[in-house]
Amino acid sequence: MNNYVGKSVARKDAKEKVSGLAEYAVDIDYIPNLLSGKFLTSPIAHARIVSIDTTEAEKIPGVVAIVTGKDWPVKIGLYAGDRDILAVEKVVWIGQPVVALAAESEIIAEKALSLIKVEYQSLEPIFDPKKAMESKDILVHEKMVEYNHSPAFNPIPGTNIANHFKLRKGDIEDGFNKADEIFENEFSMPQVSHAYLEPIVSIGHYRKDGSIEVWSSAQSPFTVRYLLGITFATPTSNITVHSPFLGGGFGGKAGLNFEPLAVLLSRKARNRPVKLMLTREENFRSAPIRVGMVASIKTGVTKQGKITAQQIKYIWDSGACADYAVNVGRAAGYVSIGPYDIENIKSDSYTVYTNKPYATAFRGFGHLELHWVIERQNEIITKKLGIDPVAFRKLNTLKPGTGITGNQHRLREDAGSIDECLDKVWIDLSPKKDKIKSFDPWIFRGIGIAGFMKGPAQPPNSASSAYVKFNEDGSALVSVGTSEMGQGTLTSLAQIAADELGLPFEKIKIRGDRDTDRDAYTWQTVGSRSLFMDGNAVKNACINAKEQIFETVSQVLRVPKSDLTIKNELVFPRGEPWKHLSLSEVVMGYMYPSGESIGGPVIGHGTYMAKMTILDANTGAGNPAIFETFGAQGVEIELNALTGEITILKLVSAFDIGKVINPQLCEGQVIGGSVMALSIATSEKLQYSDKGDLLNPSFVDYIISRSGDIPKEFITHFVENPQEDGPHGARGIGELTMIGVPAALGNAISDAIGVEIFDLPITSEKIWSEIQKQKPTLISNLKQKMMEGI
Amino acid sequence: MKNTISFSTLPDFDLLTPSSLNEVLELLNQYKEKSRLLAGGTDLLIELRQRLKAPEVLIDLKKVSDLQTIRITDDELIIGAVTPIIEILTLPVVKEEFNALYQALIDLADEIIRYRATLGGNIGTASPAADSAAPLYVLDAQIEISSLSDARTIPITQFFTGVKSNILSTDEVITSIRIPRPLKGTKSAFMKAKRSSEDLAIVGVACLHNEKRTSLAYTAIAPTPLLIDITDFKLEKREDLNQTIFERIWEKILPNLNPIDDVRSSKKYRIHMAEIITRKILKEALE
Ligand SMILES: Cc1cc2nc3c(=O)[nH]c(=O)nc-3n(C[C@H](O)[C@H](O)[C@H](O)COP(=O)(O)OP(=O)(O)OC[C@H]3O[C@@H](n4cnc5c(N)ncnc54)[C@H](O)[C@@H]3O)c2cc1C
Repeated sequence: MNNYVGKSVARKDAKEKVSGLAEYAVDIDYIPNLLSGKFLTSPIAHARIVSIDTTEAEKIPGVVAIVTGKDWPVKIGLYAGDRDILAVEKVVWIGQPVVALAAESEIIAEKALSLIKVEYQSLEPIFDPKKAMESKDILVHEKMVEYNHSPAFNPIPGTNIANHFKLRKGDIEDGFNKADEIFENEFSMPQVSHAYLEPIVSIGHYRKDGSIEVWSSAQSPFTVRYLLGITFATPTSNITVHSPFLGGGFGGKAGLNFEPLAVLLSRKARNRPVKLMLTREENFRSAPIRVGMVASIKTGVTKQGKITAQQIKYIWDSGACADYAVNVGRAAGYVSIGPYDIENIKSDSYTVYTNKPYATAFRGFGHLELHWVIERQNEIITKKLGIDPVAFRKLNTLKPGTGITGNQHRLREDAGSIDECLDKVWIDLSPKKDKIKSFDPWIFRGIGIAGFMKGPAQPPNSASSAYVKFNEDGSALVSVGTSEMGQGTLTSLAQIAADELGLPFEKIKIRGDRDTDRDAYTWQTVGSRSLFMDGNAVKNACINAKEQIFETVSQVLRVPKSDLTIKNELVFPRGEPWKHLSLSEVVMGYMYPSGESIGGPVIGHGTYMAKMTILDANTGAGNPAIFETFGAQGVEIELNALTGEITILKLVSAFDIGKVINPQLCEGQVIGGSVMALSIATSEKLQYSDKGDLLNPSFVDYIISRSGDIPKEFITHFVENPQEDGPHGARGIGELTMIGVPAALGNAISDAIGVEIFDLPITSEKIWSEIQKQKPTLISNLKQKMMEGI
Repeated sequence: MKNTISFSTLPDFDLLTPSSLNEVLELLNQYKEKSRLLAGGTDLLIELRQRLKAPEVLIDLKKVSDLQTIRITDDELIIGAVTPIIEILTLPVVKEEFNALYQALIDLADEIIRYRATLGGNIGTASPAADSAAPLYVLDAQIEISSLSDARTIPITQFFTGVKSNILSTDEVITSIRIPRPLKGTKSAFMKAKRSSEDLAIVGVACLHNEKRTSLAYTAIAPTPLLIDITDFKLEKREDLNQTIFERIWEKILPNLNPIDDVRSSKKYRIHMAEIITRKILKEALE
């Protein structure tokens, strides 16, 4: 019986956020004796550090501590320990922190920084990921072999390749032999910024007793705690990590970032806490960004449109460190062919070091990128073969029981349906096609569609937990580990708990901030995993709490536990609501009229473990994910061939998410995610000088979509084929909302004017220059027309 | 090598808040190059944070009410230099008679910035991309400038002297921008090419057309804004403009354009967009 699940319940944090009461890391300034931290960064992309002279800076009154890499030369990272807290022997990108200091004020810190002298000996840098992949003499990390890395990864010694993931199935040559047509293309995407509104803030406090407390705009506080323990060689129980509300994360705050530096500064500053607040420019240059990608693809297809062979090489430009990006390469590697069932596959996914800012997780985790490749390629194929784009896709899509990765793993029967999503989107796009002719001959209309899938990329032992703690009046606190950075998951989790416990929504408290000492554990807040994983944990915690409640009530009412139920805060045997006890009479223990008491305060706990397998190193075979959410997105555009400008008239999406827990929150995710993807598709790109210096480290020149760029119309469909082990049948949606957009847009451009785009971002200038290349006479003809028309 | 630091603080300065123009002029006279004038601060504060400028004092103009009036007389529109852009936009006559200015100001930055940004500041910065410059050029605006010892009025076309430099001496302030009311039947317009719906111009183009004169002005395509008069082409009605005529007009304009390649756009695209917008804006002016 669902009172809340399936309804658009208002967000738990709405009032706090709208009124400005919500606390973010930057607001934390009430810790006594707080110092300001600031770091000096490398001005050279690749160089050996010859000397660091801090004597002048030390003389400035108010400077409390100065640290360099040698103070704590431990390499940090989640999957590959390849990053210095501060550069130790050499610098590997412009923006890398080299020296840091803590001072009584920011002004003092800035003044002192300007007096530090660092001498460098330049080394040859490498920026192009394709060249970096081949290079044996220019190495970003000569000592890569010595680094710790998770056994799931495969770095190639003596190269810049931090990970090589292989996916193999069937016989690729055989597959090409069976094909009537072969298509070969190259696609790319640049590195981009997460562009979250809240720049990174980290406060570190290294206490005299060796305990560590951290407040940080961190997406995954438990991972931060775990990695801090390794970094400072101290038990996890010595460390507390607080993460308040986040002003967006999108993966950019998922790993370990500036927390160790803040702790290191505090340690040197005689145990005073230190606050590091990045400026936007620092956030662009020194904090992690998203991988760039270059891909080459070769597809074999029959005349009827059956794909017989898919051969792909992905090169992921992870910048100077790949601690998290190796897993992007891996996740994109096992899904490298997209949501299709193909007999013969040979795919290689390489994560490669270059001397640029380092990459981390990013909403979509390689899937937005790989579907740009797959779904653009599919468009090119359908056009050449003259097959309907949806019919072509449906001929090849994964169906329940067909293989996902390589040979072994089969799609579960209740996995959801991409075909239904494709149909729903296409119906909303295609009927109107070509009907509306524009007045101006230089305005072209087009539609494009893309299908996709994604599941959470997490280790097989990734876990979630939750507890439910009752209060005297029968209200309850739900504790989970997942962080709130805009998604609204906490509200959905509270809905699940309210229904499970038979409580009014207002009586469930779920805090927006995270505290690793107080809250139940979760692995990370990434990969659209939280509703599924933490949702199951919450449900299990509620079941456990009810078990405790029923235990007591069954004794009091003398009925079997299995007969009991809770509704409207009352516990009673099913069908006999008059025979009830109220929750408040039970949850702190029940007292008989005599004063004898039984039971006790109710704290329910629940866990959920991912059920997956380690993937085979040679073929990629195995079960990589707890679910795959399938979806399709399409756009209808108007393109001005004279200027290259595009207007998105309509954006249609469909996702099979099993069950919609909160329609409004889901729709919010769709609008937010697809606008973010449009922004990436049309304008975002980190641009570097030939020396590797970032040229657009601000929102004046790093263009993200503004409100005026939002499509005029959104149509969203949620398909609900429930997954048995999801909470109420639900699957994740957060990242999915982005994935199809770039390819759908590229396909719509192709549909509109027959110009093929292979590289993102599709700026107006890019379209203009491609029109000139691919349709050399079009623009001059249109210019002529422009002057004729009256 | 000087350390590159991304500052989060502003440099030290004293903030002076005069309440009359005369006080402003006295302070300017006293501090000269050691001072900067502060209007909305939407350009200046960024330059201060980036340590591009290090004035000892900031002279805040926002308390001087005389500099924030807008007046329309029989002959001209007079806009106080410190009038926020958003206020200029509320005056109906601006849209009715000075459409190019209206279109430029409604497209300047975003609404939040327009509440703070001033017209005097937009010109004062002397950015080649200043949106107001192109309309002010075609509308024959005059800039009123004062110092303690002197006052002068110069045509806007003489104001800009290079990228981010202008003719003001260190003791001068812009007090107002005067724009003559255009002849009856005048059409004026402004359009800019940009990378998102709210952005600095890749190129900006203004056009003014009436029975006496047809002129175009450009921003973001040379070190200073440009004014190009095309009255000689005798465009009176739509039929006078065709592909051949346009090509001749463009031949006249093109040699004046001298854009740069930067992160916003290539030179080639800037020139292409300048040409497309010129076609469009001329066509519309004649329709
Ligand atoms: C996010 C963002 C977007 C922007 N987008 C645009 C855009 O699209 N188009 C555009 O043109 N500009 C844009 N700008 C730049 C800026 O907003 C404008 O130039 C604005 O008009 C400046 O006015 P202000 O009052 O803020 O000037 P301030 O910053 O106060 O001053 C600017 C300069 O002019 C001088 N000055 C100010 N008033 C006077 C005066 N009365 N006499 C003499 N000198 C004076 C100051 O000393 C200073 O050097 C943008 C800025 C930002 C931050």
